[in-house]
Amino acid sequence: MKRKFLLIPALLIGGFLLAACATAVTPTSSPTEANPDPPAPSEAPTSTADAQEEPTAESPTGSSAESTQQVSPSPTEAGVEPTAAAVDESETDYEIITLLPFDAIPAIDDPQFLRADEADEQYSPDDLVMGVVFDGEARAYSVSHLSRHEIVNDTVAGRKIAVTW
Amino acid sequence: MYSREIDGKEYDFGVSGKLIMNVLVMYDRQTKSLWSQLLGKAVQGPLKGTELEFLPSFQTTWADWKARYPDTLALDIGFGGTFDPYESYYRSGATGVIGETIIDDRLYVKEFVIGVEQNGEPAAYPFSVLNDQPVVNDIVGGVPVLVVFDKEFGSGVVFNRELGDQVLTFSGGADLVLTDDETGSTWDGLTGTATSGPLAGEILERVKSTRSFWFGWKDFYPDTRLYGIDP
Repeated sequence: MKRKFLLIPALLIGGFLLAACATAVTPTSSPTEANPDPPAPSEAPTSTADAQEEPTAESPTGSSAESTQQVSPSPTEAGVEPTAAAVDESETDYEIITLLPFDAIPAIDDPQFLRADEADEQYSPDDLVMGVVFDGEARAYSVSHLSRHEIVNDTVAGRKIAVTW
Repeated sequence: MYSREIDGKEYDFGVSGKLIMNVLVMYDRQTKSLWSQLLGKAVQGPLKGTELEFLPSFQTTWADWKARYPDTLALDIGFGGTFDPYESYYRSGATGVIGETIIDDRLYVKEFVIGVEQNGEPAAYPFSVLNDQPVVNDIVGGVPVLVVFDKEFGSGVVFNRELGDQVLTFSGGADLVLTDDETGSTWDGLTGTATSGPLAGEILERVKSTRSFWFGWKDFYPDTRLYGIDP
């Protein structure tokens, strides 16, 4: 009996992890101040609107734990003034699927670090890492560990970063 | 990799447990807005429409990283081993938990692509194509881009190949060493830094790119150009 209860969340978490990692954003953008992207006009091209219409037809509602919710085109709430460059008026809404409660997969909020010689005890030479350098300060994050946590909230050389997988 | 600062304010992110087209949705703990990881953009909540600043990062092996940056720190991962829970998923034919939203048979669903979107124009560079052609000079949304693929580690970086008023054309690629046709300078393909020649010391700007399974990328960008496959 007890086993059954454990199995369901385990499957859900497993399924979510697999799905979530379907895409991993590899970094990018200019290391310098100059912004390479011209003021990003329509980040979500009109094509995404088409994309949104299809899913209902195609996506099976397999898991009973799934609940879909349509993102409502809620008017931008008062008081919040997003960055000018960041606002995209032509925004399209996406179908959002809920698989797990918030934080069922725990992000890392207080990452601890090792020197390279110490890390050799945990990392094999051919282990994949995601690396960053800011102001000469370098940090490496194990990709397989990122797979299990998805997000690391970190600060490197005073810069607040979210390492995502 | 994103900045957690928006207009000088610090945010931190958690895993929402939600997906958009099979791709991770994050949330920020300060406003509870939902953020698409692929787009780097809030899709619901008070910050909806806001974009996070992309930051450059690199993907390589621990040995290579340590050789480049001996003073590096590394995330303490305890002794749980480096088993990757996605290992079998990478190879299986199954896609996300909800299945594909759009069927597009131009490429095997689980093939990795490097995705680039500039000025509303999306382009995808499949690993199978990059494997044969690890250096690509292309133009996406009017931006001259350079895609450099590291066969050994299966990772790619994208740069803007415009430097000052000059557009450079790159060739080479063995051991990530590139040469530009215009000046004959030598470049390190991982960092986009000219190591010798007339342009020594110059650094190419990074262009936002995403490593994604093909099915994830084309669900977000159904009309994407597929480099090396499309006529």
